[in-house]
Amino acid sequence: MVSTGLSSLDQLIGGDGYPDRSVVLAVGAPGLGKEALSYWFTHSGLTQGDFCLYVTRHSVSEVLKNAKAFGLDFGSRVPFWIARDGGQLKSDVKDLTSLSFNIKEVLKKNENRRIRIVVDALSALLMLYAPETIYNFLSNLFDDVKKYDAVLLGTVEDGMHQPQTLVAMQELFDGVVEFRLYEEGLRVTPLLRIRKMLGVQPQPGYYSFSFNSNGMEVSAYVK
Amino acid sequence: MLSDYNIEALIGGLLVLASYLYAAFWAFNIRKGLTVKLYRNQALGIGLVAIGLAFFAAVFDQLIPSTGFGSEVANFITFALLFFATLPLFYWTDQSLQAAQQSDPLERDQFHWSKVRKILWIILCVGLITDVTLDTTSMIVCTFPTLSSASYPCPAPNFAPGLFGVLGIVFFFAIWGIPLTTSAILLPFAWRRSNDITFRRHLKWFAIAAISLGFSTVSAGYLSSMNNMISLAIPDVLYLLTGYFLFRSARAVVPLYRFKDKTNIA
Repeated sequence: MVSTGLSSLDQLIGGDGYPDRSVVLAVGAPGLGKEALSYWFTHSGLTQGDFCLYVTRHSVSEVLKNAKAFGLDFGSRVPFWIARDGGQLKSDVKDLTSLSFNIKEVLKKNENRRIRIVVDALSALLMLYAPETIYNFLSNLFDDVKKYDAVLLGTVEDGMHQPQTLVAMQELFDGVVEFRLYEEGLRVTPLLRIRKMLGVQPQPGYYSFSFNSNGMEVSAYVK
Repeated sequence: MLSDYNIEALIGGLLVLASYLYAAFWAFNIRKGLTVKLYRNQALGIGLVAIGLAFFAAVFDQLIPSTGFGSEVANFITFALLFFATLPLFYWTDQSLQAAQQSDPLERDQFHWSKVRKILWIILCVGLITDVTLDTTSMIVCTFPTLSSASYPCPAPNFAPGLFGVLGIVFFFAIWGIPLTTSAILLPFAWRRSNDITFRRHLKWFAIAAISLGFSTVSAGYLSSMNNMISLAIPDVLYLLTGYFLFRSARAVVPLYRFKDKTNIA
């Protein structure tokens, strides 16, 4: 198991975090904080000495600034960036072939280490390409994750894509963490749930969550 | 004793006011559920726009004593607040354009908004301060007629000849012109470039609300001379529809879900 970096989420998943060699998707509307899962996942990996690859369509400075807003400072330990600006390799979402090749090369070079991969560009890719193209890209990437000692965490925006695309994406991944805003009468509550997690029995139901500098606090949601 | 006409006007005004405030309530409610600053600000912006429109509705429906009372102080307060009501529109436009950049897969900074916004904010703030200063001067001069003179006539120097008049007009149009033109011109581009279904829905409902508001105001102007129940009811129904469209826009900032059954709860 690979720690999510958030003890509360580790417990929800079933104890120790994401399963080995798994691919997990965080789904949520923009603004709900699903990116924080990527930051904590990477931070935890860097602390444990794992090789961390962060693929984003944003610039490195933007990601670091956003992470700081969640109380996370990467300090001197930084992941290997494939980013729009400021990274070791440039990410160009318009060139899917290069992106795929770059990721493969980086993984190959670090095959002897435990690897954590964050892909924070899935929504942009889904907007630029036909969904089938992205499913193929992901299938190839997932083969590498299974081949090496890696865990991949992807994020995708809820409400940005056609519902059937989102359903198909969730089917592709081994685990799905869902962030949603629920309304009950006049009340609006952000809730998360572990929709599925291959090989483990996650805690069922919905959980209220909030972020602070120590991570994420969750509590069972009671109607 | 209130006449039937006045009672209908009062009820209509209160309903319109309530509809805008309800839209604002939902915007603030959604804001509370969000974590990321940009999207919280966007929800705050649409809520403030709804409050601004509620204020407009209250003034036009005479729910707030305004020019009708004939006092210069009331005029000043009304106009100062109307000027500040344009700020939320610009604030929401600004946040929406930034959100649009985030949802654009290529993250294009359309019309160099990240730089232009700073200049426009400065113009807007200087315009507001200048105009409020001119209005304050006008209020003092016109409240104490002995201060009034040929070089400083009453009423408001905004539309008086001379430097004050020119400045007043320029800043008056800056205050109204910048928020209205930026929202009307730039947001359709943002809509086009963003492939985000939710963001597009949010803008679509806001555009319908803006068109409905314009239509309501024009119809209220045409019907105002008739002075009967129907001439009051039609604009109020249209203003109420505007409130509903605004409410739909506020709720479309993010997707909202409902529990389908109780078994889902932990």
